[in-house]
This record gives sequence, structure tokens and C-alpha cells, in this order.
Amino acid sequence: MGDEYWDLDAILAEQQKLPSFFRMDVPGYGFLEGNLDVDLAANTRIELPYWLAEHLALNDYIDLELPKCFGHRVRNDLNASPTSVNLGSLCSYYYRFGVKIINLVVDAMLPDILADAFIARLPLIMDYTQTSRLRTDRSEFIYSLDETEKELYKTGHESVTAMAQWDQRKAVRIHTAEVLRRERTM
Amino acid sequence: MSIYSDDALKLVKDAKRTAETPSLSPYRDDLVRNVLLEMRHLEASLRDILAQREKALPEQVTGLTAAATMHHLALRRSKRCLLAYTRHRVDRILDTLWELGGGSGSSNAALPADLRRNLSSSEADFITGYTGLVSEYRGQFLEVDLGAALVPPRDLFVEVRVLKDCGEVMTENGAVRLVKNSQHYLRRTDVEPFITAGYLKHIE
Repeated sequence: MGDEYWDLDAILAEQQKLPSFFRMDVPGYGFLEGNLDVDLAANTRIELPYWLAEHLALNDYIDLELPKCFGHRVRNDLNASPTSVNLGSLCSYYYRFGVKIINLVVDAMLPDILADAFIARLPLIMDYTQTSRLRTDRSEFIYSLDETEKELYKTGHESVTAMAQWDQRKAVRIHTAEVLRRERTM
Repeated sequence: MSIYSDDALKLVKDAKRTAETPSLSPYRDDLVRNVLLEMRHLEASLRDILAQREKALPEQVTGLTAAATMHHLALRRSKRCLLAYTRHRVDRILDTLWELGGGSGSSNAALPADLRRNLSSSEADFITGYTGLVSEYRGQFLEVDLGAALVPPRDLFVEVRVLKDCGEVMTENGAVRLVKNSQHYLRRTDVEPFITAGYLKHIE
């Protein structure tokens, strides 16, 4: 965990769900299935968030299945055309979640698939940030990014803006504190 | 039916959603209270489960252990969300304080009103304590202004336009009347705090 403990994105990434099967009946946990007063029966398929599933799987209480967003269909799509897959709608923390899963679910292919997809999509993200002043409509592509990629897009975009400001000597001006700027315009 | 720690997650989502807004979002007292209630409830039922486990039949023990583990994990998760939420807000408050000149002797009063409304009472206490510590520390460096803007100086003097009346201001060369819409060429160190506070505008 380390530094991730305080990271909002890490917390949200660990909320992603994994299909799980309990190996035994769990008393009092029927509500996971929608039955309030019943115990959870063994081998029922339920979706558990990663923060629960990790510990339970490592201690052999549950068996896991690979979430759909890492399944065959998505893999084939990613192989065929990495830049046209909408990762944002599959799972908003696709890469971070994927990296966490690698330690839980044995799958020899997954690490390479994630890395290849990331590498294939990165140049396009970079490209778009550098040319954002052309004002062509890229909203469809931006919606298809996962959070990690959105963060990169934002960073790229900010660096372009900062560069432009430096060009116009705006960087040497002293500015009003950001919290006050909104007040002034009101 | 969803799992425990839902409200705790809402806090984190709230923090994430408003991370880019210029001003801090309102403190979610209602959610924080719900999370704490849920944690107390979890703790009580965790004790129940552990007591049951003492007298349970051998084939029931693993199930009860699993339930206890999940309770424990939910408690840890809630705690983590609460702490991350609190720390995220404290970090943002500190950023704002330094942006406004390191809280130079100014306590809550210098913060914009809409920000002050969104603070919890412990956050307000924190600001008072923190600015106290900062001004004590700054007292040791009278020749350096630790709250100065982080823009590298290029000229000794800057051209400024007055956005809000400031009345008479003492500079190194005597008093200057800063009347709205007037323009002045003044020493950078004299006017810097007025620019960050939004009274003057730095023009080229």
C-alpha cells in the first residue's frame, strides 16, 4: 500500500468489483445477494469490491473470476485497435485496477495486454494535448480514456497552456490568489 | 444490496469531484457522522460474531471467520476513506493559506467568506493554530518575506491598476493613495500582497 493509502484515486480504484464465489456459507452476509435475513450460501456468484476481495482471496475464503472488462472480447478489441476501445466506460480505473488484479488472478497474458494497450494509446493522447489549440473536436476520444490517461491528458494540456503563457510573458506577472478570483468576477 | 463503507466512499468521491474547483466544497458533516455510526455498528457486530465463533461448531467456524474478516476490512476501509477525505481537505486549506501569503498574522479573517462557510469547526481551529505557528516561525526571518508570491522577480517596480479602493498605503517612498481605476508604478515588494489579495492588478 505505502503511499497509496492517502491517494483518492487508489481508493476509488479499489472500489472496482470482481466476481467472487465464497467457498463456505457466510452467516449474516445474505444481504450481498439481496436476502436480508439469510446467510450467504457457498458458491453463490457475488460482486465484491477489490478492497474486500483481495484479503479474502489471499486467505482462500473466495475464488475469483476475471472481471468482464479484462475478458476475451475486450482483449480482442484491444489487440485489433487499441485506440478505439472505450476504456472509460469499461472501467474508469482500467490500468490501476488491472495492475492490482495481476497479483490476485493468475493470467500470463494480462500484464502484456495492459502494457501494450497503454503504449499504443499514449502517443495519441500526447498528440492531442499538443495540438489542442487547433480546436478540433476530440470529445469522443477523451471520453474513452480511463482516469490514468485523463490525468496524463490534463498534464499535457496544462503544460501547453503554461508554455503559451510564458511566451506571452504572463508567467512573470503576479496573480490574484485563485480562491479570490471567482469572488471578484461576481 | 450494497456492501458496507458506502458513505465513506461518497466522501472520497466528493473530494475527487471537487478537487479541481477553485474553492473548497462544504464539509460533509452528515456523511462523516453516518460513517462513524456505521463503524460503531460494525464494531459491535464484530464482537458478536467473535463471541459466536467461540461456541460454534467446527464446520461453522470458517464461515464466521470470513464474516468477521469482512467486518474488519469494512472498518479499515471506512477509516481509510475518512482519513483520506480529511487530509485532502487539510492539504487544500494549506495551499489556499499559502496562496494568500502564508497567513501572515491573519487568521480566519483573511479567508474568503464562502470558503470559511465550508469549513468544519475543527478545520477552523486548525487554521487558527497553523497560522499561529507560521507567524511565529516567520518572526525569526524578518528580512525575508516567506509569504511572497512564487513568481520570480524581473523588475524592481511594477505597473499596477487599482481594482478596489485601498485607501492610503505606506510604501518605502511615503504614502500613496490607491483609488479605484487609477494606475501606479510602484515597488514590487510594496504592492505584492495587494495583488494576491485581489486589490490591485499587475499589468505589463
